[in-house]
Amino acid sequence: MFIYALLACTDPDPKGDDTVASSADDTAATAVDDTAGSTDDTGEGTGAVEILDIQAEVLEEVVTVVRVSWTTAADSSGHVEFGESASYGLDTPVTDIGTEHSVLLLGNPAETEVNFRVVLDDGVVSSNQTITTGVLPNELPELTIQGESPYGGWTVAPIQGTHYAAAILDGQGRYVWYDILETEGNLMRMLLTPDGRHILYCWAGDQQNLENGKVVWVSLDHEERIEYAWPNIDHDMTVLPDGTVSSIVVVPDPDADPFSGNQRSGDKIVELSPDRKTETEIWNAWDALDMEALAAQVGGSNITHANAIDYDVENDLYYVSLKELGSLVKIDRSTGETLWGMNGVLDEFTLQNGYPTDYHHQFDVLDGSIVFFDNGHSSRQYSRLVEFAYDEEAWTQTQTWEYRAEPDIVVATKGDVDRFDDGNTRVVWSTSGMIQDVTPDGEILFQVETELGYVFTFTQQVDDLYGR
Amino acid sequence: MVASLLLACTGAGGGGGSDDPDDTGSVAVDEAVVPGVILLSDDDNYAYSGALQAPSFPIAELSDPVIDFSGLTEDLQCHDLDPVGDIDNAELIVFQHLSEDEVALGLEEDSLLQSDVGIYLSQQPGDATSVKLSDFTLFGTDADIETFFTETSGTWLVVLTTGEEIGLGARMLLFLDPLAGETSETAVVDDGCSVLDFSADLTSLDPVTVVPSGPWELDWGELTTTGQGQDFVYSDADGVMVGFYEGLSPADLEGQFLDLELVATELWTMDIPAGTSASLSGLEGFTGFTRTDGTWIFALRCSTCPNPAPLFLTVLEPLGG
Repeated sequence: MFIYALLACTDPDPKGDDTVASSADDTAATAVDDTAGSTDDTGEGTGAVEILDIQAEVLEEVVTVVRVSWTTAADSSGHVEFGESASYGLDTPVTDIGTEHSVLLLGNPAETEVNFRVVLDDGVVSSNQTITTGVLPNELPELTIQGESPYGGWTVAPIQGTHYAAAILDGQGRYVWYDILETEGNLMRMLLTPDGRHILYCWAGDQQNLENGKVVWVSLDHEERIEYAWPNIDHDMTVLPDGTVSSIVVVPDPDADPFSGNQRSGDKIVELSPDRKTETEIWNAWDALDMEALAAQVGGSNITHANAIDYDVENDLYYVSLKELGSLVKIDRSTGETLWGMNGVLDEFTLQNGYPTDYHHQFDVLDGSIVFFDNGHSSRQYSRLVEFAYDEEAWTQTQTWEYRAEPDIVVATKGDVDRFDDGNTRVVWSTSGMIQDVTPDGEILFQVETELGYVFTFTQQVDDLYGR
Repeated sequence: MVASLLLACTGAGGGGGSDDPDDTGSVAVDEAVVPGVILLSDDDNYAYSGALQAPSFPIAELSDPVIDFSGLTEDLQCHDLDPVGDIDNAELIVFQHLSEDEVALGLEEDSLLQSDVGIYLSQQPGDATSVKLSDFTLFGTDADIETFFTETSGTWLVVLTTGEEIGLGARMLLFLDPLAGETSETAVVDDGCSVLDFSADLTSLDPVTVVPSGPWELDWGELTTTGQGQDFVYSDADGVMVGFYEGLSPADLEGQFLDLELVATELWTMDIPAGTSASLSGLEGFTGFTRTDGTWIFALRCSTCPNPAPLFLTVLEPLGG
């Protein structure tokens, strides 16, 4: 058992008369406050619901997460405010009405004293409590941090390399959640589900064993793990607001003679219903595109090689990057119609300035423009971010922004980009193990670098770890 | 990642560790020899340095070279190597903006970051004794890497390893040097023994006195520097080794540093959780520092560090010995 699984909670308030257990206990949660509801700030004697006790524990499997439980003398609901100081800054969702309550405190760094207090909906507030999070396992790569991200949210980041890990970083680049993983394929993507209850892992098999693909839902306390075998998923997935999972799935040539040796493939988009009972094909390259003509142009076994997918909830659209074709396609989700192609072989736009992309991975569709992680492939010895404004009536495309690392970096595969509301941009130089937040002028505000031997794949930026 | 060059780590055993690094009542054995907590200090630690001379092979740019290791029968540590059975993985790392000398120095000092790397690929040769450039992938994803193989593309490092954990278990290093005027498309590696030049100082450290019988709680919470001169990161320490070397002095062991696990008369190891102390009672079969006809070694190891040289290593001197 990790010795840090349960740590002593202490009340930093020296005048408080709360009952505080000060010794660690290897087998049970630590009672930190037996009379929280009777302190001055809880409205004792006012007839309010009394908090009978508070328990807190650092989780054994993820030592940055604290579980706080409390009981009340009568039915109530409440939440916990917490943070690195007594001014808190974070809070949990409100519990259901009842007498037994339990919440997870998410977003804490390791080896940090966490302050917290229970707040009932009727105004009763416990005194401040503290508990110290544990020491990170050494399977997580050390991160070298510069600056602080102006983005106030969290980064969900798959890590591959010497060890595989799912991780969530805060705005200072500190680990606040993790899962050390056995190698189960190619961890292309991890996503916090919209309800905040699970982290979803997209495990693609390697290119020779795509039939081993699967998706896994892991609860943030590591106690629940749901697997769904999903052969031939590849590269990327996204989650719709209702929990539907949409994935790129490799599909062989449906007209191929099985004895001809033809092993050509393309891609389709398949949605998995939230109850995991129904798969629905939304789009299939073999139906939507002239694959024979494209195969003659680009060669390769996977003619489309889809490598990134985004869903536009407002307009019910999918956007998919097709690496082998060097193109992005816009797809109507309701009809499966391919509305247009941009860049590469399927390009329907006229580039007005700048120079075209040369194989891209992730992209971010904005209002009237798209920013791409442009790998550059072998035509250049550098990768870049490039933003194109586009006009769907004039069919023009204008380069409005570009960012290159200094010195240049070439990312042969992977790469991610996300534009924040404040105009700054997140770039993930995947195979260089580096994440940067840069201003429109290219100033680096924040940078995370892994130690040698680890890369980031595709990241997700989330505003709230509870899915609110 | 000097690599994986050094000791073959063979972690075993169960847990250990202390609950509280702030335990009161700790007694430094050097000052008052009683069973209990042994506080380790930087002065107790050994010093290690290593220099790499990895071979560099001129290769025709934009070719698809073959790396042939069929004749590689000794690794970096001059240990016997079976090119069929021992090479499980080949890693390809391209440093866009560093020279071969800078890469070698970075490996020696463990100072390289992944951001120094532009391309990072691997492949498993299976029973083959050669690998081809175009077969390297990023965890299974094809990268068309041969199209990047140009004279101006940077420094191309290939690491042959035992085991498939990236960055660990290196048995051989080599550089590929893509050149416009070159015609060779093959790199034949057959000499691992001359790649690593190392020195280990086990005689300048302050030996740590221990009582023959336990319990022993080793506390390294005050260490600031590893034996390689790097900052000591507590979470890196995940293994403990205690060894006894009959008839050998610390000076004798310096010359056999790469073989410390092989030449030990008796050896105990265990994995430890993250923390700053560990109890030697977790060492299976270890009964005490009863022998005085040789040298006792205690080491803290890091199984996830590219350089498997111990983070900390000291000589233990049993009281009354």
